[in-house]
Amino acid sequence: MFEFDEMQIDAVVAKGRQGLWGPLARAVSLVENSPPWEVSVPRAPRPCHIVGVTGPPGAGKSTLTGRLIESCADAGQRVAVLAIDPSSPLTGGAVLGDRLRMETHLSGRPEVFVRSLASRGSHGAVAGATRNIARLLELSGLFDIVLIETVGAGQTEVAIVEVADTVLLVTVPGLGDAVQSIKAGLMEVADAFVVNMADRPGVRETTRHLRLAAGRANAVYQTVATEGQGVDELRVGLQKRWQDLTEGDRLQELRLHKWSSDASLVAEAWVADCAATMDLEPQDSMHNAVNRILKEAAVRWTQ
Amino acid sequence: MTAGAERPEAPLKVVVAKPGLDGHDRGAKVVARALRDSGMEVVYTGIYQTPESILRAVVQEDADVLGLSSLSGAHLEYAKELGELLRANDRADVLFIVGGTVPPEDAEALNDYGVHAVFGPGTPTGELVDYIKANARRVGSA
Repeated sequence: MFEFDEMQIDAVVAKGRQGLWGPLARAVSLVENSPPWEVSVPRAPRPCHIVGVTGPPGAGKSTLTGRLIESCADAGQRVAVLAIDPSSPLTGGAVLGDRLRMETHLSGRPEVFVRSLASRGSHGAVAGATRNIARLLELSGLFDIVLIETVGAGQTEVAIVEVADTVLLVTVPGLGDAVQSIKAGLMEVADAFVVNMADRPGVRETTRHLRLAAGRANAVYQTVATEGQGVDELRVGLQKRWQDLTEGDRLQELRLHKWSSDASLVAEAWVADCAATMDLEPQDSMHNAVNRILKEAAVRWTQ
Repeated sequence: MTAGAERPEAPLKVVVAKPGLDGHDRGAKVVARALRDSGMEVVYTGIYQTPESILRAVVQEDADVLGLSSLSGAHLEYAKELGELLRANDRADVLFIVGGTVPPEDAEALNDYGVHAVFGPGTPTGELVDYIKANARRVGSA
């Protein structure tokens, strides 16, 4: 179990203020390489806006994130990005290609911190690690906004973006039906929708579709990320949402609510890790097998 | 505290970059895929990179390995500049590799600039993987 102490954080902050990202990058690795139950990140004195960006593959999330970096940075906001790509379940390796699509928006902006992460390990472990890294970025006080980008293809991704204060679901015209039916879980956690590639046919139907599903007329944005169209409006919308959240107790309530799901994620990761090393008898009943797993997980936890 | 077996060492993180105006990235992509298939995490930054953008990727990604692909003949200039940038930014511990069309007589100069190994055209990817696994995270400790 390790906790970041003040000295470590001070070094991260002092270097980060000069645009030297080495200490922060190493601190992120430390969190990334530890199971979530072994890391304790102290609570930040000042919160920053943690925004999850997700959606189906090919919807233009990385390109949109790149444009958001630009728009936020130009508006004076300090930006960090966590870009998560899947690890191969066979080899554990990964090609992390999101940086490639953001690169043109990074040149001349050394103050922006971008980190690619592979979605190693179990569902709960990835989400837990992402949460801890986001909290570490927040604690550094070096950022006003942290964008977490991940492909929205299943439960793991829902869990990853759920750590965010605001979840953006990015889709494209014509995918409205698919998004609604297949990504039901994502639809429910999304706080705002982006119809990207809005210069393509079908944009009005998709937008209408999403408005109906969202039930909030103002929560659907249209963008053409490759051209930068609509991105400033999206950024202003995000700022407005952050203002709403931070006025009064809404953010506190929101994070308190997420805290319990965070805890259950870590618990889930622990149990999965434990079960992976147990010899379970195939002829055993499911009830007995679960019984053994939970008992063993509890014993190991208290050891 | 561990729930299961001994935790394996974290996967190696590799930045694969193409500096300058050479847009031939098939080799770099083949390498990226081979490294992925051997269990490494590969950040591919694409073509037309500047030494500064490559350094930024290495630092922010906390990479163990930097692989530079060059087919334009400009490898000496870029390797020299990156070697200096890595040292100036406290990342001389990165295993620094150059691949592509590099004449054998340049190897010595590249070494002087801080490049640890050069892999020419036709190198089997397995050889590259083995070299990285044997030498990454060990730079300077030999």
